[in-house]
Amino acid sequence: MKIRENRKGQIRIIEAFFSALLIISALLLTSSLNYPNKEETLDELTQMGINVLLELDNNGTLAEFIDNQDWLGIKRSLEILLPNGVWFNLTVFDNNMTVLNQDFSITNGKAPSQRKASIEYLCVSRKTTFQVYTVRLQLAKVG
Amino acid sequence: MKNKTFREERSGQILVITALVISLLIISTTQYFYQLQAENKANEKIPTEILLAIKVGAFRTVEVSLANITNGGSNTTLEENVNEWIKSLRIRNTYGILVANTSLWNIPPYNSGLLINWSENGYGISSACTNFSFRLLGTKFDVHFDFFANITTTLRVDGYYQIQGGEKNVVLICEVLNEGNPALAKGFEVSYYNGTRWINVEDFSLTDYGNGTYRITFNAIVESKDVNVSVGVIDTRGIYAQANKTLQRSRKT
Repeated sequence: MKIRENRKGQIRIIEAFFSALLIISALLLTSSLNYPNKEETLDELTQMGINVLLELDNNGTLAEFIDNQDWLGIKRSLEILLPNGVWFNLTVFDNNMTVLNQDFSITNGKAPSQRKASIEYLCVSRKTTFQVYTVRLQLAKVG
Repeated sequence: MKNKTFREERSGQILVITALVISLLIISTTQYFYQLQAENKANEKIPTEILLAIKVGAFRTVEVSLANITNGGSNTTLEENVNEWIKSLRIRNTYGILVANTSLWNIPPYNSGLLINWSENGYGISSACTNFSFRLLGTKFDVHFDFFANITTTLRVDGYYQIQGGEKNVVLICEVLNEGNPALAKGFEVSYYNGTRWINVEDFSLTDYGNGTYRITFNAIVESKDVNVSVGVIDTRGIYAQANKTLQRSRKT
């Protein structure tokens, strides 16, 4: 009888331990949900990319750079506008999707292995001859 | 006594079940708020940026078309360019299904989206106006938006002349406006009528006040009492506007 009562005590401890484990794991699971996951980082990069292109295009700078084939100007502008730790690669296409910056890579380094955000932006030329450029900007977080 | 023993024996299991229920409640509540937050983020932020990008493109298309037309291009350029831009937008848009409608503003004084009036009273206007209507249907948003893209360059010219020897010293005050706000000019063209033909003035003196106001002076050889001048301006967007004015002699010294 005494041995049985002692065992009951051990079972209670195991049950209490199991209950505590359940609640702790639930708390751990929910707290991990609050951290940004990969998908969120991608959205953040997409927004950053559109904002940077909008800022450059709003005052006509982007169109002027492309019209004058000033690829270095675009590269320098992106280096200034994007925060440190963001990798970029920009490609400019004409109406027929022919790459215009074939001879010059508008990038700040080797492509990282992380997932990349890709933004396609339409930029209307400032030349009086109407031309729509497609600007493809790829972004990734480095490190 | 028997009941008490039963309750005591089951109390551990009740504890586990209660813990399970609490855990499920914590998980489901947190996930609900998390999803709600994520949905709101998608609903609010992404379309705003896309809308801005579309607006910038629409305004630029109208601007470039007006520059082309006022520099000698065909009046159909505006419609052609708007259609081409919409076509590119439909092909390249990756954010959802895009339904677009455009109409060139046709209410007088506009005709086919254009108002180009280079008058004789010292006032010239070059304007283009198009209405854009879009519906962007994505997986997490359905946005409807309309706007007018109105691009207007205005030139106001006033002035006088004074007799200087055998010539007339002409003084012109020119105001350049973009959408009603002071704007900078890229260049001016000035000419006057000498009684038989228009003489292009090459060596005029230009003072830029930096606020969209310019002072132009030159000497003209004209027999008549009044001097007819014509001023053309190209603004920084490449849009041309012209204004003509009949100047009278000023007694001021």
